[in-house]
Amino acid sequence: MQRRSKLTTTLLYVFGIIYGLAILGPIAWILLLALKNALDAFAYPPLFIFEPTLEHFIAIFEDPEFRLAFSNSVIIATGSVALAMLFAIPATFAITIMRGRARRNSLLTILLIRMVPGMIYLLPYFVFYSRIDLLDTHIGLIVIYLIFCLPLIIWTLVPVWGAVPLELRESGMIDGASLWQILFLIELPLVRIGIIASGIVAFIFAWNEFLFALVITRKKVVTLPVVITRYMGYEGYEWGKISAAAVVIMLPVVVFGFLIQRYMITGLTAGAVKG
Amino acid sequence: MIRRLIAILLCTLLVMNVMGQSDEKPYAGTSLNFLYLATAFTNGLKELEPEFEALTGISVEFELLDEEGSVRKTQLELASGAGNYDVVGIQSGNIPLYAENSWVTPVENFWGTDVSDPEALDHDDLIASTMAAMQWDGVQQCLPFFAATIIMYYQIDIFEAAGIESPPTTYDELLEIAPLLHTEEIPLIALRGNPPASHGNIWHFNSFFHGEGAKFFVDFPNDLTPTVNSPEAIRALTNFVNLKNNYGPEGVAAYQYPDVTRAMQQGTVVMVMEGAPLAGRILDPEESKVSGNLGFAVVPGGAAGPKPSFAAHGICVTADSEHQEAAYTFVEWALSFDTMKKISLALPQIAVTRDSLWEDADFIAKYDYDFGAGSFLKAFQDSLAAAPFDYYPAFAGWPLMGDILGQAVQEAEIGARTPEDALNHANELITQMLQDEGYLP
Repeated sequence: MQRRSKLTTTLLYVFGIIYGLAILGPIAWILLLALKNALDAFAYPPLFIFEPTLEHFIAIFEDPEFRLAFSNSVIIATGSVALAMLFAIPATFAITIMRGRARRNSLLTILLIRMVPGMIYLLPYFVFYSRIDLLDTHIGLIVIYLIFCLPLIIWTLVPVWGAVPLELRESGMIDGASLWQILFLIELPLVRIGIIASGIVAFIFAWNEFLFALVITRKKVVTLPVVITRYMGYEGYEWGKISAAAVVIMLPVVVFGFLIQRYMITGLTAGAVKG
Repeated sequence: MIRRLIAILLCTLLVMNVMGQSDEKPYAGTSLNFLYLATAFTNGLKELEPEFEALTGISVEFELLDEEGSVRKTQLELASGAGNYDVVGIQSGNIPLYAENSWVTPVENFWGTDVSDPEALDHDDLIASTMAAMQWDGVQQCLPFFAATIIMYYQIDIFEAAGIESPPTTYDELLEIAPLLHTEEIPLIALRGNPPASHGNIWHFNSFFHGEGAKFFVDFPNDLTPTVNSPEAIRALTNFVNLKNNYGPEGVAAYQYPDVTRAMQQGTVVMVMEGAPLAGRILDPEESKVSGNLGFAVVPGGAAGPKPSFAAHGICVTADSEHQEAAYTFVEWALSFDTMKKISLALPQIAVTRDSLWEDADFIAKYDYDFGAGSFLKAFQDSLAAAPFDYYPAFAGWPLMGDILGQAVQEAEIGARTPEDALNHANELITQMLQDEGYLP
């Protein structure tokens, strides 16, 4: 293996540092903003040494609408992933059994559903939900998120499932196992890391989604990204609360991501080198 | 027998009581939904809702969002005819769109009926220009709760140090004193830039535009041939660009109103021309470093005199609401003197729309800031008097036209075109748009 020159290594480090700053800079800025009082928040030049305050975090958690939004986000993101898994796992299994045009067309159709801009779905769903009283309900939003989570999970799982040796399935069939038995008893345990990884990706999507949550919810089912807009008042933005809320929104995703990054890497790259 | 008589008496009393209650609270038990952006006034209404419910038996659920979200959601709701909201807020610029599409029930329809109380409403007390801004085709569509205009805020000590005794009243004066006040550390002025729309650069640029006596059309509303590239308009844009590019802080082309407000709060610019209703924030000692050192004045003018920006916000009953009368009852209560006063005293709601409240002793005591260079309330009132109520032309094509004009202003600011080229190009695009939309043959 050829060794990298010093210059290349240095350039890679410089690039890595700049890239890291570009990614982490805004997050650090939001965190600092959340810990500053209103006067320090936009002091010029910016203050990096200041007396930190938790007033904004206390304020948002004292706000009943924020607490409700937090629990709604947990219910909706978890519900969306759970429901999507219910359909995605058998669907992916079926796709891995398919061959030729059927497989290609199925995958393409699923991809197309995901590629359609969200705005296209917005109005029909809105009018439909309005007629059948599904606006401002958990299940209403969960069903919509299915459109986006399902293709995401299937497309993530297909290569993972593809890495499972075909011989295992054939052995199961020779031994008289039904398709359901092959799915649940033989193959599912082997792709569980991929399922966790795709579940995380889908969870993050549902957790962060704004447009549908804005339009489909009212008061009972408002989610975290929507509740932040309530701090963006006409006479001025409450930057402290906005930043504190942004930190709270980021926190589960970051913690979750760190805890299971090993699974994510393993899951998402499984099957990547399969011949 | 006596028992029977007592029972009949009790029943009669009970029925009378119920009837009495239903007379006083004919819409008791109704639940209304309200949608608009989060302002001091709408937040105040939300806080006072229990009082309204105790008074009428009508409950109100509030959904208060940011500006973009509320406009997007309101228009989607109203266009779909879903009838989910009974009362919505509106900016005066959207009155033509909402009225032409019959999305709202004109408040006039309720006047003279049992549901309206002329004394409580006292619509003659509502500022005439704000009422006019809520009309379409001579019909009162909605009722105004917010009178927005801009004033000039400036740092008194910097003016004094430069030997300038009074704020400029014309753009020529402003450009003359600009080099005396401007430094790299503290640039002269911050004005809104991005986004180029009704609440972005157009909100400020139109003040320059009207101030020079420029017109949007040959003869609105009879001849909508655009004239946004007239010599007056070009002079307005040249001054606007000159001020921002030569005397503005770095990145001012992308400033939104929170940036302008913050620049003034932090004292990082000498002056701003910004919303008078933002004074509560700009002067808040917890957020501001310049509170106590600000002077207030009407913005400068050009050949046509000062023409400060103007927009009114109002509330309307939606046409698809199933609770029309209850919704109107709420609108009337929200606009009453008592409600408006309570909110303005409890929260930073300065932009009130009742003439009588501007003369109210408690209101004056709270808001008449004066740090030695003149009264804030006087500057606000003088600006409202000078502001043209047709600041944005009242027709449904304005949002598209405003976007095109805003793009032209931005192009000139960033040097992509000269002011003249930018406005010539905008005039062509607006002509095309008006033809496409059927406003021009």
